[in-house]
Amino acid sequence: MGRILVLVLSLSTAAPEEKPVAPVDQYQAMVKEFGQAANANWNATTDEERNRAATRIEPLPLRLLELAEKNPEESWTLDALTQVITLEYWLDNYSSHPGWGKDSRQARAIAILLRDHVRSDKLGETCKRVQYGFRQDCETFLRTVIEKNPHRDVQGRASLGLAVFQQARLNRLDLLKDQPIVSKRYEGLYGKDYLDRLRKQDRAQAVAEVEAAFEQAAEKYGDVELPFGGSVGDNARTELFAMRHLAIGKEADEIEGPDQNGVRFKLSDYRGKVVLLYFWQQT
Amino acid sequence: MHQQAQLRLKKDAVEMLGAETYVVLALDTYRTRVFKEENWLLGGGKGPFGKEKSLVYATPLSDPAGRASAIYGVSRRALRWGSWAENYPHWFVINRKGIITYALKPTFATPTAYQDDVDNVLKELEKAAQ
Repeated sequence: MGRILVLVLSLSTAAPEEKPVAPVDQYQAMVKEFGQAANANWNATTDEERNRAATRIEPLPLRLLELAEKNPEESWTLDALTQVITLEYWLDNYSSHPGWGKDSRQARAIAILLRDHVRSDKLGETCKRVQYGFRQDCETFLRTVIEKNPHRDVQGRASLGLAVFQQARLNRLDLLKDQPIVSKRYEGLYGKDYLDRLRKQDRAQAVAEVEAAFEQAAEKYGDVELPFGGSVGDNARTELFAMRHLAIGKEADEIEGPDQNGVRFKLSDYRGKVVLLYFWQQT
Repeated sequence: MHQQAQLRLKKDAVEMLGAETYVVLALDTYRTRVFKEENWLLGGGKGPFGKEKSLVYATPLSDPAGRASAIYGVSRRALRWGSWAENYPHWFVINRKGIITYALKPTFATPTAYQDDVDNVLKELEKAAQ
């Protein structure tokens, strides 16, 4: 009789079994957590608050990556891997993390994307995220998508993305020359060997490669429409114009017009003086 | 807007370099004058320049057709509040020979981006003035 009573008591006090959280819900919860922590960082007024927000975000890329690896066939897997890429940018830009070295979550996400999703028609947005990167894996990704993805709109976005990536990498290399502290951080983030290799490249040749990449995007995929307006051709030609006419070392193009009192202004009248020109955003 | 206020804070440094400072607006001359002289958003307040009507220190240029913006490749590259803004803000430093020595497309990516941009522009003005 005593044994039965004990059994009944233990059954009645057992905790109800927790329902496992579905992977898609885990994914959405992590995206939400990122959004909230990024907002907290943006609104922070002290370094302590910023660090606290960054600490919330730091584990997310690995957790998202592992979730995507365990669920390779889900409809949200590609988005989750793309989020990993974005999250690592965020940490590179907003935290003082010394760098991921060979353990870069972004590089792992890119490798999985290339292995499992390279032919997907949903890779356009991923190409856009990847174009903002710096590491070699980003370039490899964009080149492979151009070669292997069968969808012309995705190829077009990858082609434009490759040109943007090469241009931004070159600009960043130029900026690093005057900034030894940032340069050191970049070595941690992306590897000293890789940076040394980039530093040794011939700059004029690198500029020519960027131009060629934009030309190719405009010629082969010029009519591909982009989701937020404009086409690959519009974007590529605008960048080409800026490179050829507005780059550092080029003669400033003439502009003229009235000032606020109607007095005529002509930029070339100011030869012999240093001029600061600011284009104000009219909203 | 904030960049004009940040530039106002550095007015003395810019003037010491003898630099001519212009802000190009895609507005007619009347609105350009209002922007310069009656800018409620950039004037007033309790700051060190609170008594000034406007914190716009640069000479504004009226570019209603957006021609100068188009020549400098900055037209309609920013989507704001659901419509295309006339200009994406850009800084250009031009040296005494008329050569562009610095071009900056602000990213506004960090809370201190405004003053960082103006600090960078100042450094480049110093180089161009040498």
